Amino acid sequence: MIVDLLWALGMGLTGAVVFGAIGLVSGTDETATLGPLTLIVVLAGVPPVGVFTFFIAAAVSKHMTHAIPTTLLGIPGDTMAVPLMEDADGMRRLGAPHVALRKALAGALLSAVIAVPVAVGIATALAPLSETVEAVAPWLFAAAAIFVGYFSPGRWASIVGIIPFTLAIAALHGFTEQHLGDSLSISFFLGIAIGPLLADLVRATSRTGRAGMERSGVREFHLAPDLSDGRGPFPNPFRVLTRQQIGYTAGSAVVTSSTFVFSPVATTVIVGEAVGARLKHPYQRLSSLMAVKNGTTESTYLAETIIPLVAFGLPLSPVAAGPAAALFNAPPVYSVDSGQNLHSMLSSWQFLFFGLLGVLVAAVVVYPVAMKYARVASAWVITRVSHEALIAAFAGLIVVVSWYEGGALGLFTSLTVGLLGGLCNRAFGMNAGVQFMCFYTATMFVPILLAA
Amino acid sequence: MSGNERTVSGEPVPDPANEQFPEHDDDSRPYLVLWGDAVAPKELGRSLLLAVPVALAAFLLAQQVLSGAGNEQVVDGYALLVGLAACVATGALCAKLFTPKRVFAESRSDGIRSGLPPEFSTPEAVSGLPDEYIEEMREIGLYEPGTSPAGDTARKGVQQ
Repeated sequence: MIVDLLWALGMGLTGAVVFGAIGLVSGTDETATLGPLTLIVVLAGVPPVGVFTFFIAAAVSKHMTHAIPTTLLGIPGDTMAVPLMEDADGMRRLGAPHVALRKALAGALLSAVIAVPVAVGIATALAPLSETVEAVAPWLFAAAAIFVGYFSPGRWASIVGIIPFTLAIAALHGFTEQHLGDSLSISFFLGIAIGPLLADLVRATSRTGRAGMERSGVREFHLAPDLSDGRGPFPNPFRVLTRQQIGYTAGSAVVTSSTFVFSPVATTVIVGEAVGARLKHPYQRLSSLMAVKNGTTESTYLAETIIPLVAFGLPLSPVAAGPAAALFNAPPVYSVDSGQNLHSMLSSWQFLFFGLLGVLVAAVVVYPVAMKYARVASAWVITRVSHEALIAAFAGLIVVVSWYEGGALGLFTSLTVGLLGGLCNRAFGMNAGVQFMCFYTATMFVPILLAA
Repeated sequence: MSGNERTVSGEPVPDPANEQFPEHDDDSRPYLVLWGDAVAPKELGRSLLLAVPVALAAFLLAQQVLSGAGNEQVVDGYALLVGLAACVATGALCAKLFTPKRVFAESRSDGIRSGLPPEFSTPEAVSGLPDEYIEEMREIGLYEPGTSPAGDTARKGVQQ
């Protein structure tokens, strides 16, 4: 027991520190970073409690620090932070990016604390339905693709795009499986996640395409000074948020911790719309949405990991099939086929305890640091870390990870999916959430449809 | 450090291969907006040429060196870690070689709110707003009872 606890604490701390830092770097997708690193932790032989605490602490920490570039610099911290951009920009125009950040961090912490017990509770309640859910899951993903598409920026364009995109993924998936003898998933995810970047890069090399991208001046970043407040080393989230914001954030956390099939980005957008519509005053709306939306990125993420893991042991949600995939399937250590994975190795109580431990570690290590040093860190990033370096490092990461999964074919799969997805994203507003759902539809629903 | 990059646009000198003045470009519109921020295309090209091959080479080399040292999955995992470390290292090197194309402005929080709509803090706008919000807005200078933070003639309906 003591050994378990030490492993959990150690790995939780590792996850919090590493992913707290990664969150600062904009554009680092969870699927591309958390997925592979969790896999390494599993394969290295870390005991189940250590793996689980690592993942939870890492996810919670990253969703706290991703708010830093999002609010202070106006660059989305990662794909999950994209829905926060509009409101973060509004807060920056008001000259209050730090308030936006505090709200986002406090919302994240509050939601994370709520999400773990709610998700474990729901999972326990759902466990008896395991077989039914397994049976209808492919249909759920197909329905979700349409649903998420409707709420994407492209709306009808996204829905029209679902069929060709799904078909293209299905074809590529079958083709690569045939040649590698094993199906790819990280490469597809990376492709979808980096699509917009790849589309931009390729467009920049085209004489026709770059016309709309050129500009003569550089971008100016304004950074407001820190608020002088004596809130101490651990700003109490209940003091940072107004009572109304606590209510909305907690309410959204409870609701979104019980849904687990939709893309977290789409859920965040929907929750934001629902809450935003009820708030009239611009400051009230913008500052509240920072807390609510960032809180939702935490709660959906945790729920989408915990519910399928605890209830079914099957990666039935976008997060479970993406960044959390290694918790379900990491041969030879964990395997979905043999049922040997975290689902069978830990009890519900252990999931609850170590989940909360992961949140606690993130709260103690990352939350106060992010509150305190956000400004210094942002100023450093603005003046020292060029966008060129960021893109280059990220391009390297994509190449390495996709090669790791499928060699040259994995890399080319990422490039193909990325270019196609990126164009759909840029031109039609068919965002990554829709595209992820298309991936599940292609791999789970299409085979059923064809067999019928 | 990036304050001098504003005047770059009129720079006539083409920069062949030297990174000493990385912002030089012979184009009158030297930047591309890519993935949310401005980049200099040549520098981006060089960064990519540096980072991608090095990262991939580090990964493949680690895979070769470590192979035979045990389980293939574990070897791949460690090789991946080496590859990711190479990405971070080359990223840091690129950041050293190529400076950001940004102007960093420290803005003061009080006073300047030029883009603020006049209806933002009129008594009508804030009526019905919970006190906590009004207190926060006052703290960050968005709301001053008696003056409109918009700072122009929009001031009206002074609240006592």
